[in-house]
Amino acid sequence: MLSTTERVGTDADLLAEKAEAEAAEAESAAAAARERASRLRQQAGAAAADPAPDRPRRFRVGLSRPRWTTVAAAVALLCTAALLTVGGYLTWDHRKTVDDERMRAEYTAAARQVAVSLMSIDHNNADADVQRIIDNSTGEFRDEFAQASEDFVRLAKDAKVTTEATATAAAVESMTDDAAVVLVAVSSTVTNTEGAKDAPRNWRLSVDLRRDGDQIKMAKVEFVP
Amino acid sequence: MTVDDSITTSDVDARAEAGADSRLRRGARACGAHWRAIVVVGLLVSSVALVTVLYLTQYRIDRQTDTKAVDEVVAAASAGTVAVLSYAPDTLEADLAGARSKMTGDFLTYYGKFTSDVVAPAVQQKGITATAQIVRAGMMDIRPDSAKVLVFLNQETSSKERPDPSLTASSVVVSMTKVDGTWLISAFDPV
Repeated sequence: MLSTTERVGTDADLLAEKAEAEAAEAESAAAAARERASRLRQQAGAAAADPAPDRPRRFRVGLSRPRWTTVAAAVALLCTAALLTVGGYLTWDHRKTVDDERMRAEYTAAARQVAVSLMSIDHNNADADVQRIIDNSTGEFRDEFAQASEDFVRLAKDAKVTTEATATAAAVESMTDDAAVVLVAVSSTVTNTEGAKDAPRNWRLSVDLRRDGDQIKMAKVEFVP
Repeated sequence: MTVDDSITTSDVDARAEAGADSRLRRGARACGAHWRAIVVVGLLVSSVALVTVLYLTQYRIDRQTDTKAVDEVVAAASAGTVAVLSYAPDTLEADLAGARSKMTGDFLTYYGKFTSDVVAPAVQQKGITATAQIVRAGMMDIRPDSAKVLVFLNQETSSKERPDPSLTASSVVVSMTKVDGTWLISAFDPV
């Protein structure tokens, strides 16, 4: 048991000695190799335009690059933000132009309609005609017209005339989002009870419109002399 | 010698490996930085493209029909109408030439023929003086190159036979066309 252990120990000693010798040999070989390697590197360095100074340069660039890119990125992002603001303004402006065009058409159509309803009175249907005018009016004009409506209806019935009006042209003189002044050229024909027609007469109207809820109503009408 | 060689090789390999590894890491880092750069540049380029497209396809065209353009067209139509309907025997040639300079197209041809055949002889023989005044004017419809203006006008005329001026009220739809940046009358229709 012991002798076996001793022998094993001796064997181990021998092995250790051998390993030490090998290690020493390897160390010297490694030293030689390192020397050789450094010699090779020097040669390679001399051959390939000396990479040694390249290394510190790249290191320097690596340090200064984040600062440069940060500045560039900040400038680019600011430019992008400014451009998007401009883009937003351009979109808003375009929408306003489209809205203005739509609004002009809307006011023109409304003015034509109210001018025609104002100037078309059928004595057989005077009450309804007048009520329609009141419904299409707003503000002081509505109040005044409502007050005079009875006289208006009586006059139409007594005269027994029918007036037929058509709007020949309408144009916006000025407008805002909720009010407009529209010029309307109206041609009207008066027919009496015998069915005799007068020659059409041309009128020039200036209609003040105002938005009342979702409807456009007339706030004032005047004949342009 | 063999050991020497193998160790040298493995040593160089290890260094190369380490170099490749750090280069890879540097590359990955550079790539990350590039991704950010790509996003930033992409945003910038697309916002430039957006603004350019909006400017060219909308803003520039909208300016030709905005409030300022409307005022300009209405003023041109009013001035043109006054020129067309105002004349006197003494200044007839200049009056007609002035009016012609505010017209274009078929209307210019028609007006030239009508004035030389009808208006000019009548004005000279009867000594007619006409003066037009714009009462009100409004925009019917405007496009970048054409527009329609409704003009309410009063024309005062007098002649040798009737020296007292008579007033005529009328409404005219004046069609305007933009020629080389100038608004000119291309049609004149009393309504």
